[in-house]
Amino acid sequence: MIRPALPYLLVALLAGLGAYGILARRHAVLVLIGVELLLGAAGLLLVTVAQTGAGGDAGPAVLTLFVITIAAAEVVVALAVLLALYRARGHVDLHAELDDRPRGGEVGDRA
Amino acid sequence: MPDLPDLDWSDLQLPDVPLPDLPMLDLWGGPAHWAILATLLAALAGLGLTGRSNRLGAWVGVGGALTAVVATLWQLYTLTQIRGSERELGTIGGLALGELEAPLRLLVSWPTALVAVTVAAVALVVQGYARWYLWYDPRYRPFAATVSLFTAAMLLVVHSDDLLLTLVGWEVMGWCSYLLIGHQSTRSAAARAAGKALLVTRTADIGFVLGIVALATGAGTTRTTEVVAHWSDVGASPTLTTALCLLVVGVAGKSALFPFQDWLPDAMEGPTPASALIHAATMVAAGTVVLAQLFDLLVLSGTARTLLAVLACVTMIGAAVLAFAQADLKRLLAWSTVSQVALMLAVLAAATTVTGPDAALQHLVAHAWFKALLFLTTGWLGVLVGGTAMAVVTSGARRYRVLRHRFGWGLLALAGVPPFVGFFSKELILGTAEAGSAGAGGMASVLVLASVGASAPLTAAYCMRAWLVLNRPTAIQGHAAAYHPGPVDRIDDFFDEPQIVQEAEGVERAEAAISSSARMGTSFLMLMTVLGGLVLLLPVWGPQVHLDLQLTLATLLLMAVSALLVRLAAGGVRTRDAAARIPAAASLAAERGLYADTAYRALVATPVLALARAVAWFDDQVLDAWVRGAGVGARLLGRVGDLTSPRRATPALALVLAGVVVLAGIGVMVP
Amino acid sequence: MSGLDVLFCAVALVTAGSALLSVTSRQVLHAALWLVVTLGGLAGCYLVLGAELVALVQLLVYVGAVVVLVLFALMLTRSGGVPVVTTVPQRVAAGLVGAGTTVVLGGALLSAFGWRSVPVDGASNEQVAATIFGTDVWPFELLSVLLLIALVAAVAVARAPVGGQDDPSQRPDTPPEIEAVQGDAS
Repeated sequence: MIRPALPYLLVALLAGLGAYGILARRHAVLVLIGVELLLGAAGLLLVTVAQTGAGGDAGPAVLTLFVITIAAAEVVVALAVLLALYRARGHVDLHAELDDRPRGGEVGDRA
Repeated sequence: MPDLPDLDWSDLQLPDVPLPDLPMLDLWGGPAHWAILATLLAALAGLGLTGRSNRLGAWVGVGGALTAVVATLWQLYTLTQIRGSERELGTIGGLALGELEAPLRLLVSWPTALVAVTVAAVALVVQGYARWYLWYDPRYRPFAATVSLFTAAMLLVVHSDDLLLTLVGWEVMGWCSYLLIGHQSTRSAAARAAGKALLVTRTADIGFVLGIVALATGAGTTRTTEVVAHWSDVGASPTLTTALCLLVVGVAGKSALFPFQDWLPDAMEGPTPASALIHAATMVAAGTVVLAQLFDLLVLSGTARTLLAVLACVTMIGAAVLAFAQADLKRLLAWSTVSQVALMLAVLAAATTVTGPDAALQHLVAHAWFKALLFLTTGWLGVLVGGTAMAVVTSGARRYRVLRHRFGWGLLALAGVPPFVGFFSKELILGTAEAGSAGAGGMASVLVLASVGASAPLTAAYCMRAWLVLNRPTAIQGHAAAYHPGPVDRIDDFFDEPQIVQEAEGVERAEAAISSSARMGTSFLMLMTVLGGLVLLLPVWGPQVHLDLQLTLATLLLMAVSALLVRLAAGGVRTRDAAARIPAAASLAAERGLYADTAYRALVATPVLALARAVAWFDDQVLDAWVRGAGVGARLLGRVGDLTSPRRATPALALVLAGVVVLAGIGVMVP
Repeated sequence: MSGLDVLFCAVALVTAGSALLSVTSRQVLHAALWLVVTLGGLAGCYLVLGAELVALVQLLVYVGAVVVLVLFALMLTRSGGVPVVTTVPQRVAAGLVGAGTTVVLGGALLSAFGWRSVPVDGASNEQVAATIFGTDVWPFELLSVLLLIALVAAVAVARAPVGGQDDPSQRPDTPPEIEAVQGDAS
C-alpha cells in the first residue's frame, strides 16, 4: 500500500523547480537542466499513475519509456543547437540582447 | 338570331376505328423512354460525336427527332391496346430522399400521348428546317444539339408523373431557351434577349420551385398522381392555395403571361427554327401541360383559379391588341403566341371538374401545328426578301406563290375559321368556359368567357392585317406569270449546298431555294392545320362539353366584322397595312411592348440594383471595416508588443510561463 | 504510513533537495552534477513505485547518456566563469511562477486523487514487453527512426556553417590552428 499523494507532491515540487530553473538561469545549459527536471516530473506522474491507478494496464509504463526516449532525442538536438549558437555568438547567455539593434535611443547591454 | 340547339361534342367525335392487331414488340423500356432517350442521346451525340461534320450533326438531330416521332406514334397504338388508356412507366428507380418519396415515374395517358406526338413532330420539322436555314452557320451543330435537348426536356415534362422530373425538364428548357435565343451571341440584341428571357423566366421559376416544394412536402411524395390524391383528400386549405398561386406565378413566367410577357417578343432575336420550336410546342406550352396534370388541385382553389384567369385574360386581350400594332411580322406572331398561350391557360382557369382540362391541351396541339407553320413560313419569306419587317414582307405571298397557301391556311387556323384546326380548339375553349360559367366555375369562368369572346375578333383583326399586307397584288406578278425560266432545281437534303439567290434569276428559282425536307416539313404542317381538326375529334379526349351554336355563330360574325373593318382601314394605305392608321406614338409604344422594359427597369431592376449596392456598401464599409480594424488593431498591438518586449529570452519566457500558470490556475479553480 | 511511504519520503527528499540545488547552484558544473543525483533519485522513486524496468531505463538513458552529453556541452562551450544567474527581480518572478506551478499542479492532483492509500499494482515486465513488441510495435519502430533522425540532425546542426557561410575559422575542427600549435610545441 502506498499513498499516491506523496509522488504527486514530488511531481508538483519538481515541476515548480523546473519552471524556476528555466526562468531564473541565463546559461543555456542550465535552462536545459530545468527542462530535464520538468520532463522528470512528467515521467514520475506517468509512472505513478501506471503503478497505482491503471489497474495493471501496461500502457502508461510503455508511454513513460517512449517519453524518456523522445526526451533523449530532444536533448541531443537541443545540445547541437546550443553548440551552433555558441559558434555563432561566442557565448550561450540567454539574458543578452537577442538582436543588436539599438532601441529608442537606448543602447543594449552588448552594444 | 334563331334559337339554335346545343350541340354535343360527342356527336361530332369520330367513331372508334377498329385497329389492326399489330404484334406488340417486347422492347426494352416503353415508347416514352425511347422518345426521351433518343432526343437526349441525339443532343449528347450532336455535341460530342459529330466532330466537325455538319452533315453528321444534322443526321443525328433529325434521327433523334424521327425516333421520337416513331416512338410516340407507337405509344398511341399501345394505348389503344391497354385497358384504362393509361400506362405507367418507371425510370431510373426511386431516389432516397429521407422522408420524401421520389419514385420518378412516368405516366402516359391519351392527352399527354397526343401532345407528345405533336412535340416530336414539330421538333422533327424544325430539325429538318434548321439544317437548311442554318447551312452557313458555324455553330449549327450546337444548335441542333440544343434543339434535341429542348425536345427531350419537353417530352420529359409531358410524360412526367413526378414533380421532380417535371422540374428537371422545366429547368432544362429554361437553359435551352437561353442558348437558342442567344444563338447569334455576337449580336448584342440577341445576347440581351437571351439574358432577359433567362432572368425573367428564372425569377418566375422561384414561385414554381416553391410551389412544387410546398406540394411535395405536404404530400410526402413527389409523385404527381399521389400528390393530387393527397391534396384532394385534404381539400381546400391555405397551404394548397399558396402553393398553387406560386405555381401559377411560375407558369406565368414560362408562358409569358402578364407581367412577365415581355421576354417572348424579344426572343424573336433567336433564329426562326428556334422561335418556331419555343413558340409552337415546347417551352411556352409547358405551363399548360403542368397545370393540366395538376388540374384536380387547381379546381380546389378559387384564389389560384381567379389569379390565373385574371393574368391570362389581361394577357390574352393585351397581347392581341399589341400584335395588331407590330411593325414586324415575327413580332406580330410572337405577340399572337402570347395571346394564344394565355388562351390555353385561361381555359384551365375556367374549366370545372365536369368539363376537365382537355380543351387546353387540345388547343395546345392545334396551336403547335399552325404556329410552327406560320413561323417557319415567315423564316422562309425572310430569307427570300431579306427581313421580316412589315414593309419588307409586303406582297410576299404574291411574289412567292409557294408561300401563299402556307400563310393563308396558317392565318385562317390562327384566327379560328372553320374548318381549320384553330376553329375546333377555340370552340372547345368557348364551350368549356361557357359550361364553367353556367356551372360551378364562378367568377373566373365568366371572366374567361368574356375575354375569349373579345379576343376572337382581335385575333381575326391581326390575322387579316397580316394577310392583307402579305397578299398585296404586285406589278411583278404579271411579269412572273409571263416568264418561264425552265425547270428549277430542288435541293437535295443534307448533300447540296443552297444556292445563293439572286433576285435577277427569277421568282420561281427563288421559290426553290429551300431544301426539300424543309419544304416538306412546312407542307406537312400545312396539312395538319386542316387534318388537325380530326385529331381533336378523336374519341379519346376527356369529359364532354356542349357547343352553343349561337355562341359559335356570334363569334364567327364578330370575327368577320372585325376582318371587314381591317380591310376597310387598310384601303387607303399603299402597303395595305391597316396598322398604319394607328397614331405613331401608339404604334411605337406597342412595338416596344408598352415600355415593359422601362417598367421592368423601374420596378425591378432599379430597386434590385439599389439593394445590391446597399449590400455591397454595407459589406465594404461596415463588415469589412471590422476586418480591416482587426488588422490595424493587430498591427498596433504588435507594435506595442515590439516596444515593450524585454528582448531577452528568459524574461520573455517568464512572462509566458506566468501566463500559462495563471490560465492553468483559472482552469483548475473555476470548476 | 506504510513502509513504502516512508521509503518514498526518504528518496523523494533526496530528489527534491538535489533538484533544488541543481537549479540554484552558481557553478555550472555543480548544477549538472546535482542533476545526476536528481535523476538518480527519480529512478529510485520509480523503483519504490514498483516500476523496475522504467527505473533501469531512466538510469541508463538519463544518468548514463544525457548527463554525459550535458557535461560535454559545458566543456565545449567553455562555460567556466560566465554569469549563470539573472537579476534579482527576475529570480523573484521566476520563483513566483515556480511556486504557482507547484501550487496549481499539486492542488489539482491532490484534489483529484486524495490522500488515501492504494495497492501498488503496476503492469509486470512481461506485460510491458508484450505491449511494446505487440500492440505498440509500430510506434516503437517509429521511435527508432526518430532517434536516428535526431542523431543525423544533431550532427548536421552542430557542423552547419555559421550564418549560412562556410567560414573555416568557425568550424569546430580547425586543423590549421591545431597544426600551428603543434608546430610551436615541436
